[in-house]
Amino acid sequence: MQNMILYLAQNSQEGRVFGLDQQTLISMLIQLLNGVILAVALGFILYKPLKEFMQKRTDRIQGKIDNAEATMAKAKELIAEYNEKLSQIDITSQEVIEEARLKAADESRVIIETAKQEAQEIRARTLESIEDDKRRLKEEARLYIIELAFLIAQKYVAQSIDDETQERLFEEALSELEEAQWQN
Amino acid sequence: MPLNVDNIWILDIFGIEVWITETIVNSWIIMAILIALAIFIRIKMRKFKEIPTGFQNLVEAGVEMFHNFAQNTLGEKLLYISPWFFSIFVFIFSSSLFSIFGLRAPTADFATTGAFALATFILMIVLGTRHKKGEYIKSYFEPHFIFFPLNLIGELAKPVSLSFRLFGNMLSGTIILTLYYSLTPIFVQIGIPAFFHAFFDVFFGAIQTYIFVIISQMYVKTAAD
Amino acid sequence: MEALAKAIGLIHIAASIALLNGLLTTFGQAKIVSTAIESIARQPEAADSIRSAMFVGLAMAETSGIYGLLIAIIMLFANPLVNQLVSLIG
Repeated sequence: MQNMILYLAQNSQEGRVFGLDQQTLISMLIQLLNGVILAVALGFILYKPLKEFMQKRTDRIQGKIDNAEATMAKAKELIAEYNEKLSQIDITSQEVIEEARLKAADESRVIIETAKQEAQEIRARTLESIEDDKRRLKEEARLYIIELAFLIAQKYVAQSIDDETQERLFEEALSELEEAQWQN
Repeated sequence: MPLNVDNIWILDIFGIEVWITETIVNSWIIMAILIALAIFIRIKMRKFKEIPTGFQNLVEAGVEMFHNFAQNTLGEKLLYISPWFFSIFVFIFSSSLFSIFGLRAPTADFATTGAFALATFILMIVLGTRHKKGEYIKSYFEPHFIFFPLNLIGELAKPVSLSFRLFGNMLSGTIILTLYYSLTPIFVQIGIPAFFHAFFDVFFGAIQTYIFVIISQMYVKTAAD
Repeated sequence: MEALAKAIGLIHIAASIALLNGLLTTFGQAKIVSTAIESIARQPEAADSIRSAMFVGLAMAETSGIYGLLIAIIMLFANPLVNQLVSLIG
């Protein structure tokens, strides 16, 4: 067992895994220098230019976005303005239509009333003329009947009765006739 | 797949022995790949369009995601150090992906994680004194100045726990995979380790990267804000 | 040599004991995750912030486990007391 351990220890390769001595310190300093060189190289070759490039692009895109937003706001303002105008136009047109309708209604009412009145008048006139005709016809009929009765009576009276009786009979007949006439 | 970190070269600079370890070489490879990729993306960026498509979308989504993440945790005021966090984020994640290919991840060595945690510590001190001036130094002596050692240990524990968290997680994945490769016969070493790699390298790697970066950012933010 | 072998064995046992704190760490982490899931189920619109808070809490709770791992790794790979241990045993 012990021989085995010693054998392994003696046959281990050159170099080491870990040590705390001067060589480690020197290696550390060399590695520090390497790190600084790498940082400078990568920083100046890659990191900073790329960051600047991206920053510039970000600024540019930001500018574009701002611009677009400004344009958008302006467009929105215009839209609002036009909308207002349109609504005003709407209101005006509605007013006009309303007015026209009112006027038309008025006119139509006036026309209808005039027409009605005229019709009334015509009717009244017609009725009057009919009445007149009626009356005239009645009168004519009456006169005609009277004349006829008178003729009949005269004939009759000439045959049998004297003038006095004739007169009385005539009066009687007339009044009877008249009464009958009125009752009709 | 050896567990040890090998030395590739041993240099001698002004009488000090310097080991160029496998970790350092691997991180150079990763750095080269990342920088090449960055240059490739940069060249492609000239043709980037207003509306992102395909590849551009991917790159932009990645950068944007990290940017938002840093903005949420660091805040506007400290955003200027986000390239550092971006690069360590990318580096740590690609080094976990690096071990998929059977190579040793740089983050599975204390040198790398310690270096990054040390960087966080330095950032904490520098940004704390820069943004809060005297108040940062005063915060070490709160609520009374005899608490200074306690506060100091508390502050020092932050980079230590930060570095060891990442190191421990990455090393445990490496150790388990090394054990698997060295203990199993050759015919089960094809196909099956893919699941281990997916779990330990990709999944744990992503989570630990996220945690390392978010906690570094929070430490820096608490120190500076 | 025998002493070195014994020391290596002892150190491995000690490292495994140091790693036992993972039990309680895992228990605490499980509690954090279960509470976070409950909160997400109760308030799905706050899922993002709860998730990031959960990750930070998990990392904080992991700290004690990480310290155990640190101790184990130091004992295994960079033990400063291995020579004393060997001389004590041998």
